[in-house]
Amino acid sequence: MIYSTIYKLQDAYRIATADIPGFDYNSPIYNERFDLANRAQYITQANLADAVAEDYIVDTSINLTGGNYSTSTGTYTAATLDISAITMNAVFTSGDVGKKIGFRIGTSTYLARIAQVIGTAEIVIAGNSLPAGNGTVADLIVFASNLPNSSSIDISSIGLLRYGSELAWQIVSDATQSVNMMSRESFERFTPSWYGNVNAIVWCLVGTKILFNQGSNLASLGNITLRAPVLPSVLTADTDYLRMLDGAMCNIFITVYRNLIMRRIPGMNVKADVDELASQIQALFQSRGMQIKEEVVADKVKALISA
Amino acid sequence: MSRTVQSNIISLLQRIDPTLKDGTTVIAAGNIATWASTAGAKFNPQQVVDFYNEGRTALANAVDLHYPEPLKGTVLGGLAQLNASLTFTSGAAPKPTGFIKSVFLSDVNNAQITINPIIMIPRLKDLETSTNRMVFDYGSSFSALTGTTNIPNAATYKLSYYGITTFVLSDVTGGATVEQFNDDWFPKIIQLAEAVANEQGQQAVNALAAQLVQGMLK
Repeated sequence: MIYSTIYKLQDAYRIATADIPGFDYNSPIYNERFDLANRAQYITQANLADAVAEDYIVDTSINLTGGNYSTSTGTYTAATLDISAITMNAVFTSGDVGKKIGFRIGTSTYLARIAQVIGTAEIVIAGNSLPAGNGTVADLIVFASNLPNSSSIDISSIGLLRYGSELAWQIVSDATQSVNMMSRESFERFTPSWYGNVNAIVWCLVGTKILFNQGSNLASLGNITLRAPVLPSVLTADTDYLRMLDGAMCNIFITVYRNLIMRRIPGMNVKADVDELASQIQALFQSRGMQIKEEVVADKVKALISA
Repeated sequence: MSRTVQSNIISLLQRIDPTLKDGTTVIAAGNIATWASTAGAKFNPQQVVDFYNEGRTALANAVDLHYPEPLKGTVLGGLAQLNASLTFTSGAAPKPTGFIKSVFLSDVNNAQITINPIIMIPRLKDLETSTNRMVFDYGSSFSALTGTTNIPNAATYKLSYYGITTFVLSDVTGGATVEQFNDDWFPKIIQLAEAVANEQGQQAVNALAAQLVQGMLK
């Protein structure tokens, strides 16, 4: 994630509002400065992603990490599918709903998912082939929410910039250097034992899940890292630096921010800074050695001021 | 701001009631105490002070209504006030006497707290945090929606505002109290106070005030 080294949110707010004639500093807009700034960030990034998407690439580990485990036994009630009085290394929270769990009653092991968190030591579970009778639960494990399941990983919790979708993404594994994206059709026809595939990992994106398959020589997928552009992180403090690259991007952001602020002022005749934005967009592309046609600039300006 | 309230009142009296009760002695600085104790030929002293105060208020309101924000600050600079010991108790603070319009409310560290009209409550209520504070303008006080949660009890809040002093008779007889308005506004105050004295209605006085301040804009 990139950050401006110059502009904090408070700087951008001061500059944007100083350009608005007669701006009332004691106004509700001050309380909305975070909302508006975050919206301006999304608008700016989304409309200029063709030039700046790479700036927002981050590595996200999508391995099985972060699960919890029990440190005592608990009580299972079959009628209500309830596990209670169980001590975990980290107490249950509402964020655990939907996570997969494994546990043992006697010599039998079970898989389920958390349907409801009743309290810090009590959950209701759901699943198939769960115990029919009451019992004492031992060795309960809560798997991380990004647990690979049937060779798929849910990435819905990552705020990904979907510009260019998976074409702009890269996945790396420490198990092999051959990690390749495939179309869904090719993925379905992948043959793990074919000599060209035996050391390869392949993947394809389906909705919010990445499906994986691996060659027959590989014992596992290894540690997987998703390298993809993400949305700007949310600004929550006046001292947060803008998630924009210094230079043209910050200038464009401030212009978009000012435009959003002016729209909230009753009676304000919003004058779109068309020329200013157009020249800044030109500057952005030129600074990256890219060409952009005038009509494309015009489209981007329109999108930035009407979003 | 060097004209005194006394000199302004004497100027007003020259227009609406120039002599003492005897009908012959012209009111001046030298006999202002006599005027205060015996009244003029036409009006009693408190009436005259009331006319003067009403004229000033009409002028301040007209400037607030008709001037653009930065210019307003310049014109009303004499009315700018700082209360550096505004007291919030249980999330509420009383408006200062003579309050016209708030400019900036902050805590002791100059962290801003906005003052909003109550119509903004539905729009803003979910945005309040300890670093995004707000109060609402309720009658004679400013009140926080969440009590002391984000506006702790303290007597160190700072309020910059425009406020108008209501002068009393002793401000006239004392001779030292200085008018808040800048000197170039003096003729307009007199003109408006005269209109009040001539029993023109509030609507006519406000219209005259608007005409006078807009004339200054051109």
